[in-house]
Amino acid sequence: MNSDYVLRMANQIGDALGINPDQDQAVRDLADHLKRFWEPRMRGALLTLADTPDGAARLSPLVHRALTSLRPSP
Amino acid sequence: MSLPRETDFGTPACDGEPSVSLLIDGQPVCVPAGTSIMRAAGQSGCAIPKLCATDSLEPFGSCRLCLVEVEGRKGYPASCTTPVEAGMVVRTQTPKLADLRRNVMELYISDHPLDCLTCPTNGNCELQDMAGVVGLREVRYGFKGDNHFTDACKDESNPYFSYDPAKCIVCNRCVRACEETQGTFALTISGRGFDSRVSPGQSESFMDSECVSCGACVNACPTATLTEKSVIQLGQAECSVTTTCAYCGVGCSFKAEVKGNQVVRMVPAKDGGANAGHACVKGRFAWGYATHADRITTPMIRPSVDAPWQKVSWDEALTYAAGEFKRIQAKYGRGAVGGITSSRCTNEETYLVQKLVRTAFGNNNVDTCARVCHSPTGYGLKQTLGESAGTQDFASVLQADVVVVMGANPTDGHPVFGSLLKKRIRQGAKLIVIDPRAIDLVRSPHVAAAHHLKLLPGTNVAMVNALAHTIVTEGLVADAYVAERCEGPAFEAWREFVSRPDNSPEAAEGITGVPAAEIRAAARLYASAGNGAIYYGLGVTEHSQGSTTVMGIANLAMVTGNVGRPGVGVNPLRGQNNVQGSCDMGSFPHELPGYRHVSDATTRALFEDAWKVRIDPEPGLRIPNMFEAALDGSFKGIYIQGEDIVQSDPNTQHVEAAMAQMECVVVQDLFLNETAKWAHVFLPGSSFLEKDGTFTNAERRISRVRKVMPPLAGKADWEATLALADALGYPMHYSHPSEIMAEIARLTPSFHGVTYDLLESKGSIQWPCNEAAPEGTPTMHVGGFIRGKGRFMLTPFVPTTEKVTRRFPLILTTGRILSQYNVGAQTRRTANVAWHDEDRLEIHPVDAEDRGIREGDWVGIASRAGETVLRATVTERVQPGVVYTTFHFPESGANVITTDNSDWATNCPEYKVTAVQVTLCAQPSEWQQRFATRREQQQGFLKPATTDAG
Repeated sequence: MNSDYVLRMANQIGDALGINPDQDQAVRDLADHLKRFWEPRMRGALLTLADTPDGAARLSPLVHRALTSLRPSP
Repeated sequence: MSLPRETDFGTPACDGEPSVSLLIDGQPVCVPAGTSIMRAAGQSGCAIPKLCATDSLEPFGSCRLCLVEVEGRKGYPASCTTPVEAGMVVRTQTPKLADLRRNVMELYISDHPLDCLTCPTNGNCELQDMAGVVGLREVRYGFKGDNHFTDACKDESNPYFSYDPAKCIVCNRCVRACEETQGTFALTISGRGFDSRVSPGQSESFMDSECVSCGACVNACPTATLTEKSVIQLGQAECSVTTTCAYCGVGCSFKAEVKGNQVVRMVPAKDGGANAGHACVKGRFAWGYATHADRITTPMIRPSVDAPWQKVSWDEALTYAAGEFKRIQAKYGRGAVGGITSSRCTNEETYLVQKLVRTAFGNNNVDTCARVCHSPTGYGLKQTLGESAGTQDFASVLQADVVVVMGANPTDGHPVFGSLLKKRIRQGAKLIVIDPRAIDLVRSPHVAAAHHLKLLPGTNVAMVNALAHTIVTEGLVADAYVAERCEGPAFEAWREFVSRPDNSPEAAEGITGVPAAEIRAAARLYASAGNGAIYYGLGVTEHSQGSTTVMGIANLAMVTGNVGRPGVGVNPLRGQNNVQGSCDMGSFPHELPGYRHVSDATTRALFEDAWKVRIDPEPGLRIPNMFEAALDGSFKGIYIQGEDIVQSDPNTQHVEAAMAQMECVVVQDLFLNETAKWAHVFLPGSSFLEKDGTFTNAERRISRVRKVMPPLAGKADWEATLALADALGYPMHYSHPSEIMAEIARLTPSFHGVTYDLLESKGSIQWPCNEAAPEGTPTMHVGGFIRGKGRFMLTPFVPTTEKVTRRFPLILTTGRILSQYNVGAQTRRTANVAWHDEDRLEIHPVDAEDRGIREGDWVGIASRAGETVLRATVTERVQPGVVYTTFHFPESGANVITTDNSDWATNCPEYKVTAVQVTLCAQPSEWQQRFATRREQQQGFLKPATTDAG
């Protein structure tokens, strides 16, 4: 899945949900949105992107925090 | 032999309980106050002769045929214009009345050609009937009336109906229908006495006038003056079948009048729940596509999209398709295939396609065209109100005091509802239009918007926030309603948010371009006028913040207490005939039927038990995601029932590139559409006239679709899906769509009470229909929201990334026109092209002058995604800086320009905002030249297949 595509969409979701003054809740909402509406290969592409220096730099902090809960448990 | 005519009581029914008792011809009668003597008599079985009266129109009192005697009164009052009174004694049949009526008929007939035997309405003519009823036996004035014109006087300009002034009795029914029913005011009676004529516009032809060809005048005409050309050509029908229109989300009920397997005409059903006897030019007349020569009625396969089609049997096509899907899944994985359900098809058919994907394919890669239109409605209303659907029935608008129309153009996109809305505005309700463009509702005969908030495309969220700011900061909140019915903490957070200065109308003025004072005035009107109703369309949803705006609209309705009773509400004007139904039926990749998420184990268990398969708990790919997955090589096969994604989805070149990567595209459609040009298997589809089932319209109204003719290709769409499922190794056992609906009802709480028997007895049902609401639910959220408490959602304005620059200084926005429908596959194959035979670019005179563009010039429109060429229409309908086009013709390439920006929550494309440059040009764009070449190639590939037929 094109990394720019998932990056742009993830940051967009972050912009929409980041308005919540309770940022912990915003992170949970964002993670929940990705789980409920994104097909696994899209989430996988986003996680892969976040592991690259360039991708990590371009993802919003809120998305970064949300991705933590999306990673499979070790 | 003509069809039995529907009962016509002469004047409209009056609301209320029967309370006025009187005697008519010695019979006691009790009717609601305000009822006419004519209607009261008709309801008691004493039909009074009439010509100018019909129960779809207010009484007029001109024909003098309906005279009656009322005891204690002098003279002979017209029964149509005389209301009943308590204790009245009425006589409808006396020797004197018989004399008077015969005299009146003598006058009519003396000026009417007596060509009954060759008249197209012979046997279906009210004048003829009345001559018989009054016992007309002689005409003392002779038969050579001055109005016996020659054929040359006929107006044949309209492609669908003929106007023959010789047959006109000047009853004014057509004029009144145009005013009262349609609200266009295109007709009048010109001249006096024998010179009286029905006159469209300023004595123009019908086609040159403002007439919108809705057919209301034809319906109202009691003679052969206004007659469908199909009736003139084919004669009158033998029988009629009540069914539902397959165009827009209004879902009009029609009587398909048929002779053998041939439709003679479509007549709007008086008892239609959505349309109450009205129609538009598409549903009423544009049904000829169903038997158009372009229909493909034999299955076809080919090894590649650059090879000719080979005509094959159903079995061979289905076996080939199933084999390819299995091969692809074996090679690339279970998730490498998917399907798209059709919002043109029935509930039962969309249910089957999503079931096939979830069972035979074993994944959730199913989506529907709502993805590109109202998916933000589904998301936004679920979040706030708790259900992914509009809150009202259409008739609710007649109780509204102020109506907000945002990003919708009802008179073009949903014409029958548009007429109802105009009627309410004429009755005195106020109108607020929020739209970048001056749609017809802003100012049309006897309708004017109190406020037109002419905002810049892409600024909807700033606008709804500014309206909310005004309501909250000016003390217009419905405090008691909010306290009782909404979540308190969410409301307080929202109140604080919208009260911020950056959400004020003054701040919004710089973003939207609308003066702050105008925004404040509109907000005050909406919040304080009584019943406030919001209607919205794709101008709200097709944005990068489409879902945010939907939630903002729901916030506005909740904060003003405008949800949960007739006359108010949040009303998405859904695009296609069954887009509501296709969503209800589980067409989204994250939801099973009834909007239940696939991750919900209880719901999954219900379906797993019924379907005997394991259901994937993960959401599937949405349509735009499918394209991306195709481009990355992980999505290789798709079954598309009745949707033209190549023409209708944005960034055409991107879509084409994705389609080119697919190894098996199965298209099931009526025609070789743009998507079929990228297909490997073509399964012939069936039109709405060829099958049984149900559609669900924008007001959640489930209506029957009934088979009028056998499927031209031998299978209805639901039968083709069954056969494909069978070939895939997952047989489904249904012998009739009613059995599919029974399964839907069993598995879906909001449909528990829906059966074909109930539909038969009630005509239509609005869901939820279950134990709690056995008769259905015209108004939702009465007494409480579906989700419990209404939830206010924070709606930050995030500007689109699609920004104007020096290179792309204008904003392109798109829309529809009355006579054409979406990708035009149907309407382009009808005489509707007489009104619109090409897509044009609307450009403001200032922008046109800057570029040296004049009316009709060819102009290039370039965006970051691509370039196309259209002819220009210079008009002040659009504001400076904004251009507009429709997208009904594939060669226009409107979606070559639109980008793949999309709504943050749902991926609904941002069709409504594309930065472009417009320049004069002399030749088609490169894409258009490639399109023409490919079209010719693909048509060539079809020829051997179609000529093999023998």
